Amino acid sequence: MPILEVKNLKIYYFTPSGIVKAVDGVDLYIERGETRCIVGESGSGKSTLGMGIAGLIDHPGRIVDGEVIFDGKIVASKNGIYTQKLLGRRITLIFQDPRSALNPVMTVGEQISETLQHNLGLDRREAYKIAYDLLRKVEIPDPERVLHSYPHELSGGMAQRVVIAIALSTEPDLIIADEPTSALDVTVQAEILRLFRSLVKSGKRSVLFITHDLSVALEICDTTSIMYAGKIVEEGLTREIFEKPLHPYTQALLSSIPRIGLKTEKLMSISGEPPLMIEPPKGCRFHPRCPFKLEICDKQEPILINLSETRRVACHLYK
Amino acid sequence: MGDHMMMPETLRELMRRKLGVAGLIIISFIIILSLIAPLIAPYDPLDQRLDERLQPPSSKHLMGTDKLGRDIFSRILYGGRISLFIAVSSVVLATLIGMLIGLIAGYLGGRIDDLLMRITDMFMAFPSLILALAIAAMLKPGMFNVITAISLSSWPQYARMARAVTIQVKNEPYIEAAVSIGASNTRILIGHIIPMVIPQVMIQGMINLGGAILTAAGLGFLGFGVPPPTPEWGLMVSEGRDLIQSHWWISTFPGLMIFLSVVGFNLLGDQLRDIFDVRYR
Amino acid sequence: MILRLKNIGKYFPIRGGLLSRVVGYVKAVDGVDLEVEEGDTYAIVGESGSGKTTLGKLSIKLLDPTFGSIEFMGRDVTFAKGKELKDLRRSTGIVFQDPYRSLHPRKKIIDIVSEPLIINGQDPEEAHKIAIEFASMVGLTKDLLYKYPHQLSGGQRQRAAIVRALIYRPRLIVLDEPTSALDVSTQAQILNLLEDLKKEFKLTYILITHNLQIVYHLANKVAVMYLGKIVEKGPVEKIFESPRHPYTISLLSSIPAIDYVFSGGKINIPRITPTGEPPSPTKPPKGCRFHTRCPFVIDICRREEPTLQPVEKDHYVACHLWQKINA
Repeated sequence: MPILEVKNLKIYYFTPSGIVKAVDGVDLYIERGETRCIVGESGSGKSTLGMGIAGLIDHPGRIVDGEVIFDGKIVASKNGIYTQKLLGRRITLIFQDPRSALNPVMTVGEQISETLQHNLGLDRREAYKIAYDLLRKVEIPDPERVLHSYPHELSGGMAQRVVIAIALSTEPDLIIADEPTSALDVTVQAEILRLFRSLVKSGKRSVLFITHDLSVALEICDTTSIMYAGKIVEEGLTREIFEKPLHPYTQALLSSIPRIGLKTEKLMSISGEPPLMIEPPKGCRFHPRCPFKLEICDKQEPILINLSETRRVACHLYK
Repeated sequence: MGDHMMMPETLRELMRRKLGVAGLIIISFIIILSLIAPLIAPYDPLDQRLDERLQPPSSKHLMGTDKLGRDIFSRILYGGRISLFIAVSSVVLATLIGMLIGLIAGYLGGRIDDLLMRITDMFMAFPSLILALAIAAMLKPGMFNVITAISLSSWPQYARMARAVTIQVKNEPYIEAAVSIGASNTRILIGHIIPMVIPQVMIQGMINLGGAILTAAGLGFLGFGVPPPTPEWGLMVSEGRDLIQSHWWISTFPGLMIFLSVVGFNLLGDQLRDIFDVRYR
Repeated sequence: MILRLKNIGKYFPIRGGLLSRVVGYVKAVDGVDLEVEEGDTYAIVGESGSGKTTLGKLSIKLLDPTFGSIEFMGRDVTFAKGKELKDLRRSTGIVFQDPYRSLHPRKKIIDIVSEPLIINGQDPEEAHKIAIEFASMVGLTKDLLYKYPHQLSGGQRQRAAIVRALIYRPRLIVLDEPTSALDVSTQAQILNLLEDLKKEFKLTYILITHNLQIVYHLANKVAVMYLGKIVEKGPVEKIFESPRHPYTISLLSSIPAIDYVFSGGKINIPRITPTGEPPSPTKPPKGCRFHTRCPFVIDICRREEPTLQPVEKDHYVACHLWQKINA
């Protein structure tokens, strides 16, 4: 049984200027131990999806249809959200800006040990000891000093390590990470990704990793779902997607990554702009920008079809 | 952000808020009455009819008459013009002074900034009514001196705000971009920074209009305002002060008008502030 | 040579304490030499705190250097004022990283992009006409010009920023992370556009970026910066094929999806992961500034600061060990 099932999830924002269909019918299955990437550009709905799974959709947003099933139980649907007890324990979150996730007036040690005391019922001394071990585990060179530091005294990379340590501290079943390395420098990003890979992949922990960067997905995710305009347009093993992207959008995303040692005159680019989610295009949402547009594309919306055990694509070219 | 492109949006937002609508109705009511005062006032506000002194409210004199036999209703209508004029002009003057000082301090920085801000602090150290009183007492009574007194006592807050916005805007990349294309200091200040400062200071001014009406009335009441026989609300309250037990209407009606207009402006101002606070978040 | 920076530096004072006295300096750029030829796309690569943006701004005198000199088209412009400065502004331009903050929020795009002409005394009507012409060249339709920045997408705004930098036909444009705030699909559009414009207008670019892939695609020369200093510089092909400085190599090995990115097959790079994080530029380490993170560190690195040495023609590296590190 997958640890997480998302069925036909729709999350709309009811704004004064109209209904923004941020997530518009998403199905997603994550097995235990799987690391799944959601890749999409800004406005694709990838972060809303992550927040929706965590049950953290704020006004004016609302789940209007579908459900999120965690470990066999419905935890979020239009009828209610029941993730409060899971968050911070069985589901933990990592965000782009580590400093906003840490309390500025508490030392790192206090924050980690508080989480441990609260969630695992440990006493203070035990909690500090485990906090120390956790910081070593995320390869912080001098855990003793960091334990007594305040967040503002840490660099971005160090702070993100601390957040990862906290996210791992309760041995969660699912970690939702939203662009955890996008604000970091390249060398630091490489380090954090390596750390993430080694820490997270050990054990039966599942990860939902949200990123705009397809290359990052290849670094750490087994499987990848590509999102465009509120829908998943393609999914498969990350390796497969890099070897043979199927959806024209994925193809374009991949070929717009500049490659080294391969001097081309021009980078392939996608023409036009991503659609406004208040009025997404009819039919396939990518059709106005698609170089392979068929007659049917602006009339009928393609559904995700299974091409193999792992591969799914929503495009009229594959039938 | 109260510029032309945002104005309709702001108004729509305001209409969604009950308190804002209430404020808007009260204020429009007072403004319209003052504007059409000559059309609807039954009497000349200065016309003394000693035979009709101290009459209680009746169908002939809606709000009664004062001790010189002047029709209070007519005086209130004309008084609205005076009060609104004083309030609006003093706020406009104060925002202009404040903006000038704040812009200079914020843009130039360094010693000039220090000096100007210390002067501002000095002005802020006194409660503004006391300060206005002191200034009004030094000047001769008269409408323009009231305006001067109120604006001299209230500009520091606008100066601070203008300075804060200027400093913030000064460091934005679009200002650096303007430098990169060769824009002069004057051009940057007038063309790029002032358009960002004006709307914010204007909103603050709107919020303070109620306060200005109150200060004007306070000065009038204490005898430092517009000299008699001008129908100014504060002065009218004061004129009925010793007769309040026997002839309640003389002070009560102008007092009520002061109350109403202050409430109206405050409601409006508070809602505006909320709307803009949300948008700045 | 269009631009020559000689031993240039920029220190920003840090103020602290009650009387806001100067308590130290951020040595953002600390003694850099750079020669840019006409027609170059000279990339300056580094991470945050490397001083790359400061160096970019120094080169067009958007900032005044603390020491050193700037020579633009053969003239010393270090202390340029008045007309000389105005001429320099006319011949240079800059495109900033964040198109959301580099356009005035209360001005229409047309007024923003035609301002350089108006400053130079062009009549507004004429200026608008030219603006419309330029805008169509970068793919901005006329109706977009009459909108406010917040009504445009990131890519459209960056195009507007490019028009503003381009409109008086400068010789040199500084591109400060021109695509890092944009989505991948838009990024490719802007990079292609910059390439086209360079040919069309015979421009010279200084490209500031942290993204080595973009460097490879756009630039012919590159300088790698670390904590205010250039640690390696030279032709792009050389630096990518045989990087010598451990920091350059570690930057290359940090590229995500590295196997895919390098799958052209021409280039093989050794993998180095630097340890830890860049130290603060207020207190750069003694000796070689990279020694705290370098996997090859030896004693001399902690004591002596290496100078830029020629590896071969045009390729320079500042490392005590460069002869031993051979990619």
